[in-house]
Amino acid sequence: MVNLNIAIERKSYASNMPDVLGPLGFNVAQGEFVSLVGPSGTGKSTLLNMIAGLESIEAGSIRFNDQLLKGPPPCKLSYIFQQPRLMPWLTVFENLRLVMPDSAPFEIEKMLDKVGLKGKSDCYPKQLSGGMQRRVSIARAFLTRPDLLLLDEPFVSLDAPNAQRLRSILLELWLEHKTTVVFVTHDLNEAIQLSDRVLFLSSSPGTVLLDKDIDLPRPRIDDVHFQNWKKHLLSQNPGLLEGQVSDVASESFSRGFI
Amino acid sequence: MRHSQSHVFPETGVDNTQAAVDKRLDPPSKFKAVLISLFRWLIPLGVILLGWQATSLFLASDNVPSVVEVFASLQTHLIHGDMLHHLVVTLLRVALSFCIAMFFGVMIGIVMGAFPRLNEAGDSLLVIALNVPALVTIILCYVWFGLVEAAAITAVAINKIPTVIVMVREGARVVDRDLLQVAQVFNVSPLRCFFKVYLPQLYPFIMASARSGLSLIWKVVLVVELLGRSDGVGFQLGTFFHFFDIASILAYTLAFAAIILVIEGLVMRPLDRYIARGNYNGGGPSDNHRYTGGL
Repeated sequence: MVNLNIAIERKSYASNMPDVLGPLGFNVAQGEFVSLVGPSGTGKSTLLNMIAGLESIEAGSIRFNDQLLKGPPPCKLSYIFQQPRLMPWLTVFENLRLVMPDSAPFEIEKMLDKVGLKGKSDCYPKQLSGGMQRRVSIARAFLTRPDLLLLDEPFVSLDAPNAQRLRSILLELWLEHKTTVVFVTHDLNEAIQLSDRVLFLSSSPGTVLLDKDIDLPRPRIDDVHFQNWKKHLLSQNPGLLEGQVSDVASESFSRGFI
Repeated sequence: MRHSQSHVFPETGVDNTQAAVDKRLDPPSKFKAVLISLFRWLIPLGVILLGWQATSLFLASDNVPSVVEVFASLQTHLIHGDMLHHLVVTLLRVALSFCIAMFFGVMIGIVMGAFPRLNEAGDSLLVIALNVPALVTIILCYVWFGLVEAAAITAVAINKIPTVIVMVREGARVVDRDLLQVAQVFNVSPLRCFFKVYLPQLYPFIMASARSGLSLIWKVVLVVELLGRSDGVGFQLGTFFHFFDIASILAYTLAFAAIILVIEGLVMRPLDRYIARGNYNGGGPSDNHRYTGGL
């Protein structure tokens, strides 16, 4: 299990480019499910990549259990990317085997069963639908029994019922494995439904606008309580989803997003 | 109406992958599909042989032997001569220099594709290497290393390596970083990552260079044999040239062409199918047809 401490001062891809991330700091407790919500281009994916050790940290620090991140992360980490990113030349079984070479075949079959892909282990990714490919990537992420799971808008461009099914699979697996989760999305409903806490990021360069605990009881369904909670949040913080903190007066123009 | 349907059905079946054909066609029409694909390359072959026979009859010259004469010569060389020995010797040379050229070509190609600075430094050298005539390399190798087997093999490999480098380098340049990130994030060991994630992306490129390589190499091997070996198909062709024995020359050519065809069918095609598994054609230098199309 792992807790995260993030304190980024800034991040840019080149010295002559504008910063993608501004001063940004937050903690993620062990086993906590934290969502990052913000408009596109705020450096959410960049932040995840920095946590995963795929991007360098120029100014600031990321700590895993108070241990400074340098190079590869010092814990078991899984990443569900925006695209499933399966190896097209490996079967579903071999794709899972790739990340856990010493796992027994029955473990892999069991994991595939959990995500509803029983009997698909010999298929190649191209033979599966988009939703099924995502399920494989979810199975791959949980197969390694990760301490930390990063998700980068994994359910975008899926049809609503399919996305809903995958969300519940994700929740089930999270409850079972007690993994620390950082979940990036631009869908506020999704964030409220899934997470313990939601962080709203500003538009580029990204900083934390609001850090909000979600105190709705689980399992959460899209009912009146849910909608009221969301409405209350948005009326208290106008411009939140556009990544702006501004006074209420100027906000009345740009409220047509709900 | 019935007739046109039964005509169209096997046609479309042949154009698809073999697995799809097997699944879709019932036994009689599957048999028909096989027949059609057989005819597809028997007919052109027949046309060529007939044209050849007609030309030689028409010209009635010793320099243009007829098909019958060539096949008679082929039979004599196979049964009474030592054609088999020379074919095997040449084949071994082809195989050895092919393996050496592919190994070094792929290694250097990967390195040059992965490191842009090295690529820049080596690029002009590569252009020169690509354009040195085969004959020059062969002569220089024989002069410097003597008329020995190693010199012959080296000369052939040197001729092939630059073209392999060029193709593999293109593959290494367009390697999918996203997939490599997956391996990195999930802590896949470097060796596994290389063989399961990196190299499969290069297979289409390696395959294309192997395809073109085989034909280039066997042509260069013949020149090498002609210039400095005392056995092999090239040496034999040289001998027949001295006697103006055109029938024997054609017989040897046919025999070796047949061997290449068999290698193509038994090695290259199964490899193609293996690489195309999962219906993957990794953005390689050729479209899908080169890998799954009819012979």
